[in-house]
Amino acid sequence: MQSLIQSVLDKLRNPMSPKHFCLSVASFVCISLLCVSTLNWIVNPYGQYSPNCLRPIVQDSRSEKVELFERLEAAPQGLILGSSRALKFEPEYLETRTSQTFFNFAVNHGRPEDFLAIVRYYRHRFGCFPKSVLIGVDIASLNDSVPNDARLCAEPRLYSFARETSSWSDDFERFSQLFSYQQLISSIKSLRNCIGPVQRTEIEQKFSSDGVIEYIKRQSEMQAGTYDFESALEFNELEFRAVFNQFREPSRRRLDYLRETLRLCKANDCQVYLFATVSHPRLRERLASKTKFLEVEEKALKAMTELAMSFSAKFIDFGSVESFAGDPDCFVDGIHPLEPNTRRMIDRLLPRTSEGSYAVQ
Amino acid sequence: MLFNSYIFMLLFLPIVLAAWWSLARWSQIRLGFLVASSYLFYGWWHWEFTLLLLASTLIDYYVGLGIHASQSKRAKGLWLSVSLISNLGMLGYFKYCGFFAQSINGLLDAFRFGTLLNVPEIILPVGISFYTFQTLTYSIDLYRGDVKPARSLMHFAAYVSMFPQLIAGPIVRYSDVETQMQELGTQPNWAEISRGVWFFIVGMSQKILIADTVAKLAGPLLAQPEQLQFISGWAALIAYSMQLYFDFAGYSNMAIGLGLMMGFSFPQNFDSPYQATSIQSFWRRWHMTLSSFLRDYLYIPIGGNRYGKLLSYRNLLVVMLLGGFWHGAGWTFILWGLMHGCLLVGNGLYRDYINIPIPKIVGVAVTFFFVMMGWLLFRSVDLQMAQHWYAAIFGLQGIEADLGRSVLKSTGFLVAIASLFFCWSAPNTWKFKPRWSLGTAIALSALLVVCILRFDAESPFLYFQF
Repeated sequence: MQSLIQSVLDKLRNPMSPKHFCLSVASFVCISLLCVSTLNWIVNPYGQYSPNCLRPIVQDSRSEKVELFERLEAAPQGLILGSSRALKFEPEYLETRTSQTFFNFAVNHGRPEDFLAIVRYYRHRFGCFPKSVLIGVDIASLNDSVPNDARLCAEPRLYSFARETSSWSDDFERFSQLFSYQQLISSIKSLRNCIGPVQRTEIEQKFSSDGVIEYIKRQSEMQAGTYDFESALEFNELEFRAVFNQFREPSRRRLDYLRETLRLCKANDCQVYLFATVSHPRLRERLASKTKFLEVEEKALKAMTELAMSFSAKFIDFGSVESFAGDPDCFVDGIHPLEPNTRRMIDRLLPRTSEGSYAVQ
Repeated sequence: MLFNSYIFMLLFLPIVLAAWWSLARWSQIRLGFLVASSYLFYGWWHWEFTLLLLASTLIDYYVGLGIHASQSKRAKGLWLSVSLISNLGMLGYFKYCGFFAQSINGLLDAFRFGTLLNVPEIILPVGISFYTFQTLTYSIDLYRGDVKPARSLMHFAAYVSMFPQLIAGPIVRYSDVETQMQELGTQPNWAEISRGVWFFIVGMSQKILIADTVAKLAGPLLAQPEQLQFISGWAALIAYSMQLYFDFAGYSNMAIGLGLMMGFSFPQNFDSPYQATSIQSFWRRWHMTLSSFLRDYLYIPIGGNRYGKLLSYRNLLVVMLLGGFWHGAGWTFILWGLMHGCLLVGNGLYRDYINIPIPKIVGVAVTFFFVMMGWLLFRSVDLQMAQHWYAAIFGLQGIEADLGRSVLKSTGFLVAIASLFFCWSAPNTWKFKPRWSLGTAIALSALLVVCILRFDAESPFLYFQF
């Protein structure tokens, strides 16, 4: 045994020619990266790539929403589009106000390319367009430096309707994520969850059949009084400070996708209700003091107002809670409003015009 | 494009290296390829700014020809003034315009005249301070007769834009690479390439594994300087001192490594500066190519030490003040330069009039203390932040209990302390002679793979802002 160790050590220490040294380094690096990327591709912890051997460790709302949508027997008359900030808009509440059926098709990191893909997908699925669409746009989603969400690219049923929105840099970004530390750690976690002695998969949230999210873990912590709202707010602050420190102008290409969505809707007699999504007042305050958030917001709101006017859509800025008489205590964190707030936003978007009649007929 | 990005490591670098050595027989095509890839590298961030790089290259190339063709000193001087005005004008506009407007407004406001000037929001083209200096050295060296004009525009464009050192140095003079460019190797020199691989991976590790780790401690602490107290103030200062050194030295090592992989030898930029036993020695070891630039193109021309001690002290102050201002358009940088000027004068006075030898360990400790005091100014975004931070480290903002404990236990702080001792005791990358063996190859590959895995958190180099 000792002699074996000694011979291995000798081999490791033995001098080699510089050429062999360089080739060894290059080979080891390539082999290591190949192993890491193969593992990440097979395990696919974030659901970004095609193999679905293991359940992704983070919820892939696009795939889940598509599954729920495929199960619908009749076409919903309305759609709710947006990011995770719109996941609490309840189709049931909208139905009581509009007498129309809705489906909440908001997805995590939903951006204009997602909205365009979903509206086209709706037409493909049901052969018609919805009668109304509510679109919640995050100011941060109009950022040019962020590529298309890899989960959109990995969901073929949606991605086939938005292929033109993806550039080679998005594909490269998705490819390069195969070599990321974060992804490697998540792959190892996924594997441990699957093959470890104890399988622990705590479901933190789930979607109801109409697409509304239920924050199982967070809401139970809130009820128990153990929820750490401050940490959640700080997390949002860090994330959005990074976004708004680089963000100067609303993305032209993303405004174009939004324009195309509005154009499609208008051409097919679909009424659009566009709104800027809300942030918690304390998050707004922090972003306003530390980044150029307000400046960017102003530009984005101006662009959205112009778009809405061009396509006869209704537009409301819900950026601050005051705009819809919202309650700062009804948030999950700095960006996700709970039902009391989403209902107030719906009330503002679709006001009662007279007793028993509604804006949408 | 960043060295620590997937696009650079997985696509750009392998393609460029493969093409560079494949084109070895055709030197003009090879240089053209180097220029094109360097412009792509630079334009990846903002393609518009490649026009500035091109303008600076064209101006100085033709100025160089003009200087060489001129017979009289006066005509040469006129040509040189074109280079000075264009390069310094470009630097002045992009880097200092906003600062001057803001300062004039501040002054007028202090005398209750209100603000008169619009403060322009100008994006600073990355690396402008470096490549304008490089083109300037070419024109000045030609004027002095120290170099011959570049053999062709392609040679000169390759010298100015060479991507390994384009953004943040080392500041390479034309004389450093003139011969190398004319005698480009046609066969790879594997010994040099191995050294290049060594430098590159060591530099990458310095940046990703040390600088970025300690930045995670310094960044959040310094985001709220008014909340800093004694322990957090010192922790942030030590962490930032380590971050700056490993970030910049890491970049320089990567640049030198890339140069070696392509057959170029760039000058050393760091020589264990935190082992310096005096401020004078520190400036011979820190950003050595800038120090020698300031010495040769500023200190000596304004008199150096040729006219007595008093004037040499004045010259030192002027040079360091301008050196500080070169780093950034802000009062904190001016004060930082002035502070180092005063420290150098103090160092000179001690050497000239007291000259009692002090133990090496005391010299290192005292020098490092003053260097850190300077880094505090260097990192502060304004004087108010510097004021809070100084107050914190001298205990005037209180001594914390809870935060202090958590800061001292953080990975960032432990890495900062470990790297500080490493800086004080270990030889630098140039002195270290690695043995080319399988063990070294595995160790270096492992380091590089770990670094590549960490590219998912984008982190630009600190010196890009200068």
